Amino acid sequence: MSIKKVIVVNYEKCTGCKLCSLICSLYHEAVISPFLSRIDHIEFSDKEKGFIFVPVTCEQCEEPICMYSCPRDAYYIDENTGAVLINEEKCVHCRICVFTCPFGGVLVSPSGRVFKCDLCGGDPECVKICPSNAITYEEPESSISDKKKETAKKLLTK
Amino acid sequence: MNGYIGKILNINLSDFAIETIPLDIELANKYLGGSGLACRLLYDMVDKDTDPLSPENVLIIMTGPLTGTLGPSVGKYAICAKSPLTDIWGESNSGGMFGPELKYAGFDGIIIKGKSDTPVYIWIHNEKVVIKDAKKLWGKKITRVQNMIKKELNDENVKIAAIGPAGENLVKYACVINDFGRAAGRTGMGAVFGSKNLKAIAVKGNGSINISNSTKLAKNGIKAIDTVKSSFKTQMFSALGTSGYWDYATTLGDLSFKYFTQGTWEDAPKVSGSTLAETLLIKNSCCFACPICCGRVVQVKEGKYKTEGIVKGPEYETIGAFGGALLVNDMAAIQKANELCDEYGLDTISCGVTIAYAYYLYEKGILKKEDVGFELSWGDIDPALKLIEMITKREGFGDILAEGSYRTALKLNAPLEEVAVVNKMEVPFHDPRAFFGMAITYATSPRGACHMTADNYETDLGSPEPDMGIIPGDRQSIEGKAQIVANLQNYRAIYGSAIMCNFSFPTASEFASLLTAVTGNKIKIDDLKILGERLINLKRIFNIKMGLTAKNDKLPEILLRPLEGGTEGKVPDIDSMLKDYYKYRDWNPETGKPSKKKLEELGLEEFIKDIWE
Repeated sequence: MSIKKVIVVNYEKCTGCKLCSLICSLYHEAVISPFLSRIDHIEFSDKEKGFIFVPVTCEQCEEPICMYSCPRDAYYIDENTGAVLINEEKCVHCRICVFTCPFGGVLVSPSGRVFKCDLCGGDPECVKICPSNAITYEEPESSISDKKKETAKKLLTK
Repeated sequence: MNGYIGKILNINLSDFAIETIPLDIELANKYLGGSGLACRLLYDMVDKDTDPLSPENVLIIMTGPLTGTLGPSVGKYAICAKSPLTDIWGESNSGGMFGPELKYAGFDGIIIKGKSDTPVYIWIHNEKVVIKDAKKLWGKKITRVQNMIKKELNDENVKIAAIGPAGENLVKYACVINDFGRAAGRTGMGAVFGSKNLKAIAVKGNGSINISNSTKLAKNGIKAIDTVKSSFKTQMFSALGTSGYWDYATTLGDLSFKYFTQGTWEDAPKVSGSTLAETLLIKNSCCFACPICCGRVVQVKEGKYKTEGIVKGPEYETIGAFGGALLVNDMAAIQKANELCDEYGLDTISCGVTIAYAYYLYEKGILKKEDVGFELSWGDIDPALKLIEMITKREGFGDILAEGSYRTALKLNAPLEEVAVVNKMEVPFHDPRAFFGMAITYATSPRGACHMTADNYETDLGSPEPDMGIIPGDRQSIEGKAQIVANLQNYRAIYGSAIMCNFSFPTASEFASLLTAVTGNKIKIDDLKILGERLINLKRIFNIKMGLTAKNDKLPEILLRPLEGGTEGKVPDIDSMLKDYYKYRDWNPETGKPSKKKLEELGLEEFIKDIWE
């Protein structure tokens, strides 16, 4: 099995401009709404660095907890991209995956629909639009996975 | 409704009545949104006798169809009212995240009337509106206010627009600040907030904006962003902030010094954008959907001008006012003035220029030490810092300066031709002697001396938009200049209604295609031309209703005295340009009124009776 590309976040480059969220909601939902975006950035106020923005999206885990916790077997992994996807026909929007995901990668719309990042079929729009290269689409390396753990840790402890 | 939310929030602070009214789509089609739509609404609500600081004045906060959507730098909203500084049309727009958030919270705009008995703030959360007590926030500086509101609402990500003590004390050029130091700076909108006992507006929403053609918007939006991203200006603003232009401005004489009386200054490089980047800069700060990120995040770590942690850095104009106009060559000192203005809620241009005017009067002997309480000498920032405090609190001599330069001159019986104002608003730092087009810009701007209503210096430096008749020319020639400035005013008026930031410069056809994709109205270049002209004429009609005539369209003599340096002693022939301007606009040169024919042509027939009969 080949190593699949993932969305890698370099939060120090993120300016908080939200373009990723805008294109994501436009591409997937045909409306503009950061709340319906699969990627969002969390804003922190830091005494030493000022405002910090951390883009957060689905990590497309190798061992996806969302998938394992789904009582309806609605989840599957795309063979080409490695994206963890939801079969809309099986999903009953029970939200167990929303609660089990440790990264906030699975989301709920205001109408109660569960949705998540699908890597845009292997050509993520958010990556293409990011003006500061804070999000990239590349093969994961150990350093990247370390960095992600650190980001997640920060998110969990804040 | 596409692009728009379709709802406007109507609040009367006198009796706390809150209602939601539908957005009049006919008006939106005619005036787009932002300051254009706000002007049309305000026209029916105030008149010549309305005291801008009375409960009768109406505050209108308005987004545009592009606000919060996908395009370059479309995070803007406008604050409009009759201006307490100029007594005519007041508008100021600001970036950050507040405008988009208002739309996501369910409203295109807010109309605020009346006056609350006690200090309040407005909390808008997904169409739910609550007027909350702000007694504890009154008197507090802006960052503090934002933090207190976030704590009270228990939400870090609420977007807040607030005033500081200057707005509370009705300083005529008090501003409104939202998010991280983004200012709706000019025309004293903060004082209008203060006059209504309104301390802040907090918004949060998870709604959506419907888009007419999402595929087209994705394509056109990305294309327009790429155009902006690849421009030289973007690279410069991104690397060095707005003051990246400082060195060039100095060379051209676009920046004059010592209260507009000196063409060169040997210390100028000490306070340039590069100096800022090398000394105080920590990183950039960015507005919504912006590929530029011109904002500066800075810190002065030690010394007497130490900042309170990490703060928003100074803009080009701020350094022009507290650096150039006062001959202060210390970046940390200028930053201190910037920080105080941002925290007290003062427009750095009007505040800095008014203080520089006091220094000028002091040198002339019109002001004495006993009038001020201390000495004012060029290059010394400390008295200026003291004056910022006194203006904010309206203490002693600060009470006079809080009224702005023009009213200070009246009070002190100083010669009016030496006050650097147009229609009572302080002149910013793009000298009409360096770019003759700026003479027309200032003289005819709907809000007094404003460089943003037609940034002709950008045009002549090489930002053309031939489709809109905006063509670069010899910066110190008057040939055809008035017409080009008029075309630029029209175009920028659409920016103010859409709303897009002036620093983003996609092509006009890209701009039109964004509007088309968002709203579904087929907008072509020719439609933009008519729309822009309609907006400028509308604001003109508003000002005529407020009593403005052609006599107001002028520059103070102090800006028309020859200087050494980059301007080579040349001065613009303003009278000749004005003649061209009125002819091109079809405005009467005596009364300043648009002709009946012009109004009919632009679909503004409804105003003919008001202004001609």
